Amino acid sequence: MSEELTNQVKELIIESLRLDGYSSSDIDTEAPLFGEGLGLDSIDALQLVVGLEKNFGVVVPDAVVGGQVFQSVRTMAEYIAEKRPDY
Amino acid sequence: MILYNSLNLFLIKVFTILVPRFFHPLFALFWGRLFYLILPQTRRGIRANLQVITGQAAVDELVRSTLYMYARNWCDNMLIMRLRGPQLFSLIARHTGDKPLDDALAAGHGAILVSPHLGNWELGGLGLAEKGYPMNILTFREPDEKVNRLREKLRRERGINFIYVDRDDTSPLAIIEAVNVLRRNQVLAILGDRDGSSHTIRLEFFGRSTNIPVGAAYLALASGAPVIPVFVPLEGERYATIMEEPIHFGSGQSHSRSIQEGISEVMRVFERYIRKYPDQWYNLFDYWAVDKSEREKEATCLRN
Repeated sequence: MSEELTNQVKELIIESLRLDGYSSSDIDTEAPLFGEGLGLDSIDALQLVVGLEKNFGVVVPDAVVGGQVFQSVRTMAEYIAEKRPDY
Repeated sequence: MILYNSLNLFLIKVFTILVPRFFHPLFALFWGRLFYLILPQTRRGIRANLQVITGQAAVDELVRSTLYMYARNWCDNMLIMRLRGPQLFSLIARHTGDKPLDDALAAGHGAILVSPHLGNWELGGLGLAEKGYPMNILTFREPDEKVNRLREKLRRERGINFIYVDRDDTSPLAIIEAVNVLRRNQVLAILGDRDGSSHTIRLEFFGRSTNIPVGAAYLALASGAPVIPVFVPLEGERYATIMEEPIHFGSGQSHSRSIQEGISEVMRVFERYIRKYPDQWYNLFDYWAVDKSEREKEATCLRN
């Protein structure tokens, strides 16, 4: 998993959730996205699902996979790398 | 509401087994009047709501009627658990047709049905499932687990899928499941008039600035599904099932504007039906009280 992909995921989060004033360096790669950490909620998750499809062509097929993918920036990037080895 | 627990539901169920529906109005009249006398906070809450809806000060007859209709609603809810096919549909006297839903599913993006807490929305969902529509209900989990199990049993027997949203849980699981059922071109039903989540926007509702949930709008934008307002009011002794024209989100506008305008349109349709059936809007608490206290806080902050 490249650092470039990790940064692309952070950009996706900032863009999809309209986190004005944030930059990639403000987001911890390992921090939990939901609850503590970034403190995202279910509607934010929906935005990220749409963003993953739109920007990376990667589908989150169900809630179980979603629970694993949206743990952190790292798990999101790993999922993209697994589904799209070209990234 | 404290009345919504498994013991009470069991007693109502036994009652509906023993007593023919013809006699239910008498029972409902008795319990409606009793609730009116012994539940002052509920009475005051309903009165406050009806004063906003009707614009009149004297609404006590409507308050009593609301409690009567609510008792009838619960009798019918427990009754329809045992009814299938023609027996279930015999409770429906007027039906506006399913064309908006059929058109939405033909387009292939699923459909989001939204209803206020008005009339017997359970009957609406059961009726559509009985007709073979792939139904999914996005709902809160009730505090009494026996009630949850009862609801699940009833709906699963008819092939209705549940997606639970936890009021305090910020997990993304439920919303992902919800958007995926729309992508599978299925139907998602939501109650859309009560603020139960963190995602709301302030909109005019009966002339008051109100926190309105916008989950349906986000799901519509994510999936391309239209939002179809639906209503199942009791008219006389039987129900009407009404499907309004679909509302489409995101036709070339900005994201936030699309949400605001689309949900405002849904609220205008809700207002029309709540005005028509004010005693079947089952928000048995002061609906605008939270907003009042928020407005007071905002005003205090502004003054300071």
